[in-house]
Amino acid sequence: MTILRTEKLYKHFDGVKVAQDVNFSMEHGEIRCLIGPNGAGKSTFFKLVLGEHQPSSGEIYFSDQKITKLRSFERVKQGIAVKFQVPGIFSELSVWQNMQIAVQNHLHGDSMTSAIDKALAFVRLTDKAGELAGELSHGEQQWLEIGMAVSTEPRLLLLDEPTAGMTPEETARTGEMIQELNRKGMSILAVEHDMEFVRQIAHKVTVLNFGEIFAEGTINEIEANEEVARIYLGTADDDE
Amino acid sequence: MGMLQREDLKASRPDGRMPGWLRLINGPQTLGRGPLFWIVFALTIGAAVVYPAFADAWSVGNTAYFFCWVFMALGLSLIWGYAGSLSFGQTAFFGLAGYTYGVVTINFGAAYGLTIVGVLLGVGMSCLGAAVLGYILFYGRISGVFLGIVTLSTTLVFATFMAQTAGSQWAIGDARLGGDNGMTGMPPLTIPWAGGDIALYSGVPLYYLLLAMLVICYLGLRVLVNSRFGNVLVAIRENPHRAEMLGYDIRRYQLIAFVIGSGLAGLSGVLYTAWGQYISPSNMDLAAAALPIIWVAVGGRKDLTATLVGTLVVLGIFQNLTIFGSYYAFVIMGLLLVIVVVFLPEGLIPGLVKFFGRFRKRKEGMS
Repeated sequence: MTILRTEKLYKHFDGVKVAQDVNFSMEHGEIRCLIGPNGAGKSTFFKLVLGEHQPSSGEIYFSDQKITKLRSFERVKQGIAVKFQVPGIFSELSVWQNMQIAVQNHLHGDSMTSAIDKALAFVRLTDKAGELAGELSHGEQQWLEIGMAVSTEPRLLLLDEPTAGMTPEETARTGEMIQELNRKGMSILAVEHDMEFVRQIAHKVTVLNFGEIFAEGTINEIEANEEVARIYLGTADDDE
Repeated sequence: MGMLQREDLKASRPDGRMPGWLRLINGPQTLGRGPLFWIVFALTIGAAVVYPAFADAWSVGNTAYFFCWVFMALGLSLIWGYAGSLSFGQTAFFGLAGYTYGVVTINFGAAYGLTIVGVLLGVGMSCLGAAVLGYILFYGRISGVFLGIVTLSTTLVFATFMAQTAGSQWAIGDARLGGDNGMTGMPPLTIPWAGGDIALYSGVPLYYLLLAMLVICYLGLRVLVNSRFGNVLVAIRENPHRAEMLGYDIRRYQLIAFVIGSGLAGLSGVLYTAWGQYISPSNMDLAAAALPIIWVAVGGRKDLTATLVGTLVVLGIFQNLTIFGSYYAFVIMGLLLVIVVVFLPEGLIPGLVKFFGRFRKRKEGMS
């Protein structure tokens, strides 16, 4: 069963094509990594899935339901969660309040408290529940955001460069977290540059280039693909 | 500063043993949560209750006048401090409600509790006006500085329009709008009573009514900002993008906060009009529109207590300065705003709380 599918997805900005005929599909329970050189259209694709951009044409389906016209918050309510590249947290609030805001839309009372406790334990921030989120280390802020995203128990988790700015230890721990979430049945779509990390987590890899799907396959197939190596070493325009 | 310590900003999990309403009134979105704070609060209320017994009639009436304005400041704290939307529209809704009260009460009189109907219609009109303007603003994705520009423009257009209504053709029933001179002749707030209606002219009964309303409004807003709704408002202020990506329709929350906050400005408007039996376009013009921003920014816009205390203090300073000339008072108010924005951007009270919190921490570290 497909969790996310796009059909003939196009996006133009003043005549500049940033997504072209994207026919993407990923299965429920899959970890998919989206890679590509700068300017390949990865962030645009994320924004289209999240509803931050409306496609020029084409359709987006989530669990076989058309979500193309839904607003961002409505897509989130359907079961999509996101973790941004730059930690999207509420810096002036405590870690607990950050989690509360994430969870209170779905749960109340004791079940909300236990969901927060569970999510904080998962991202190893139980001891920091009373700290201001803005005073956490960069890696902890990234984990807090992951905790906020997963506490809503989404069916699809979008991760935009989840390990950006992390130490190797934090990166490895993040990889373990993602695999653990996936074992519990969560589908994950991640934009990532760190090929070591991609190798650690990805079931399948999609390569984007100039807004088009350039290649798709397992990490071994992608790494063996000479054309993929060429576009990475080539002179693609940086627009992201 | 013990009652407003730094730890207040670092809310952790709520105390499960605490009753729900107490958790809300004592929640993390408000400074001042310990027993000491509530003891000081009770003492302050006690002092306010006995104040008329020791003060002269003019001082009591003047304090009641100050109380009239605080609702508008608390409303702006909700819109700007908690929800992050800078609005210069408070005085427009203040004026709209004041004129509505005037039109209703001049036409229908004060008997049978009709002044209370005037109050309700005045506040209702300001809420309706805020709902229309807010819908255009928030659903039109107008935010940041543009929100301030549009609300200020709306206020100035309304004030300018009202200023040219001097002719006799500008009347609603018996109520002459009065142009620059404003509208006069409306009755004061009148409470229907078995032994005869009680007209609340600027005196002790009005003082007590306003004090009671202020306490109820302050505590009610504390509950609101510490509720789930308040959590979302603060989330929108801190990071609207993230709030939306947690599944919240942020425009709806912003609109509701705008309507409530503007409704409170309307409440100030009707109370002021009933207090002074007068309302004019000068209550809405550029200088008037800037004053609520100064009260709220100086005290501390992100906290209701800071806003309440700051507003009363700044109103007192402003009134004393006007003795030397109103334009000097405005200049000094402007300077005060600049100084606070540059040196204590969160306002005097939260700034002091942070300062003493850091000082205490350093002292504890040294010992």
